Amino acid sequence: MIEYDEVEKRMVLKLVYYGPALSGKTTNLLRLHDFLETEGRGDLMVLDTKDDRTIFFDLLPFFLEAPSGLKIKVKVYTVPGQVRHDATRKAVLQRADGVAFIADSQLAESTNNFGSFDNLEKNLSLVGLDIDEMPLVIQFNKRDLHEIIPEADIKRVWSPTGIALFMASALEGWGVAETFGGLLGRTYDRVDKRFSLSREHGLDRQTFLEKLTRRAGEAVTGKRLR
Amino acid sequence: MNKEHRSGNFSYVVGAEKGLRDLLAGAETMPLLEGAVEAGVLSAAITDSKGGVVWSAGCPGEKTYAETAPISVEGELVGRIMVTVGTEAEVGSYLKGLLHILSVATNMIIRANLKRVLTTETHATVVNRSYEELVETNRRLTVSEGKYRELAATLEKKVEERTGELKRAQEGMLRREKMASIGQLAAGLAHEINNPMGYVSSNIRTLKKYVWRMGTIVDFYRSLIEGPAVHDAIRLQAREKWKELKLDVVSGDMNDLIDQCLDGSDRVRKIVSDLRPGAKSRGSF
Repeated sequence: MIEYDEVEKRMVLKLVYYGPALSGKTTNLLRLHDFLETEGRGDLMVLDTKDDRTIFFDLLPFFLEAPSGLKIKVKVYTVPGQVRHDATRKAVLQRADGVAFIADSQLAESTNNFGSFDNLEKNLSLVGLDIDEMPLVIQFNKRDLHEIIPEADIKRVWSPTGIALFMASALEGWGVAETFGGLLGRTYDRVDKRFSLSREHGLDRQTFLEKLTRRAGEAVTGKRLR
Repeated sequence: MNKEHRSGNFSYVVGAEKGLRDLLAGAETMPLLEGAVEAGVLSAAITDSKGGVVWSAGCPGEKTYAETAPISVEGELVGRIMVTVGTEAEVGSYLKGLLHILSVATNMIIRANLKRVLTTETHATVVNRSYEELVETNRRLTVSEGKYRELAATLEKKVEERTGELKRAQEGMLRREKMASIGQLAAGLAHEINNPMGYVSSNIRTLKKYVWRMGTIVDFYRSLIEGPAVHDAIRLQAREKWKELKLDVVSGDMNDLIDQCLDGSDRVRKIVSDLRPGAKSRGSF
C-alpha cells in the first residue's frame, strides 16, 4: 500500500511496531531516536499517554532524498498494546508497508505474545493487508531479564515461519537498530520490486539502509549502552 | 497535495501527509513575525520549500541583509523563516538570537499542531469506528430481541395450547373416573339384583311345571266326575263350584300370567347384565 506520488516525486512508507502491552514498542522508538543521526530524522512524537502507556501512538519520522530527487518519508509508528485499544491499532495499521512485531521474552508473557500476533493477523486482514506479502520481522525484547524463553525455543517455534528474528534489549539499547535495519531492508526489497528504487532512482539497498540507520557520533557505536 | 492521481486513491484515515499550510496558521504566525519587526528587523517572513512567501511582516528595503532558519515537518524541510535588516552591522548575535527564537517557536507550533491533528484524527477514527460497531451491535441485538420477543409470544400461545390440552385431558380423566365409579356401582347393583332374580325366575319355571301338573290332575278329576260312576248330585255340585270359582277364566289366564312373569324376569336379567363391566354398553362411558 505504498503511497507514491509521481508528479510530486514523493513516497511515504509506513512502518508499524506492533506487539502486546508493555513489550517495549515505545522504548524501541525512543532508543532509535537517541541513536540515529538527527539529519533527516524528525522528532519523536509521543502522543498523549496515560500512566506512561500509549493510548494513541508514537511516531518517529525519517526523511531522505534519492539521487533522482524522489523524496522518501519513512514514518515509524507504534500501536497501543492494550487489548482495549483495538480500534486505534486498526486505524494505525491501515496502509502499513512493514511491521515489526515486538514480543516480550518473559516466560509469563508467552500467551500475550501469541494473542497479540493473532490480533495482528486478524487486523491486517481487516484493513485489507496480506500478512504473507507484508515485510515482517519479530523482535524478542527484554533479553536482559532472567525469567525469559530460551533463544533456542524461540527459534524452534518461529524459524519454520521464515520470519526474521531479532533478540534485543530496548532498555539496554542493543538489538533495536538491528531490528529496525531488518525491517527497513525487507521493506526496501518490496518497494524496489515495484518502483525500481535502485534502477530508476539510483537508491540502492545499502545506501537506503545507511541513510536511515546512521548512528549519531561515536558514543553509541558500542553495542551495549549501560 | 493531490492524492488521487496515477497511483490510485490515497485515503489515509490517520497520518495523511501534512504540508506547511496545514500545520501553520496565519493567526499563530503573524504575531511572531510582527513581534520581530517591532524588535527592530526590517521584515520577517515565512517561505515555503520553493521560496514563495507564505506570511510576512514589515517591508524589506532596497538593500537588505537576510538571515534564514529552516522549518521542518517530520524531518523534511518544508520552508524557511527569513528576517532582514538594513545594515550589515545589524547581522550579528542579535539577529541570530531573534531568528533562533522565531525558529524554535515556529517549529514548536508545527509539532504541537501536528500532534493535535494526529490525536484528533485518531480519536475521530476510533470514535466513528466504535460508533459504527455500536450501531451494528445494536442492530444485531434488536434482531435478536425481536426473535426472543416472537419466541416469547409464541411461547405464551404454546403454553396456552398445552394448558388447554392438559385441562381437557384432566377433564377426560375426571369423567372417566366418574364413569368408572358409576360402573362399579352399577356392577354392585347388578350383582345384588341378579341374585334374587336368579331364584325368582327359577322358581317361576318350577311353579309353571307344578301348575301344569295340577291342571292335569284337575282335568282328570273333571273327566271322572262327568263319568257314569259319579252321582248326579255330586256332578252338579262340582259344576256349580267350578262356575263359582270362575275356573274357566282362571285356567285360561294362569299360563299367561306365569309367562308374563318369566318374560319380565328375563327383561330384568338382560338389563342387569348390560350394567355389568365388560358388557357392550361400557363403550359409551
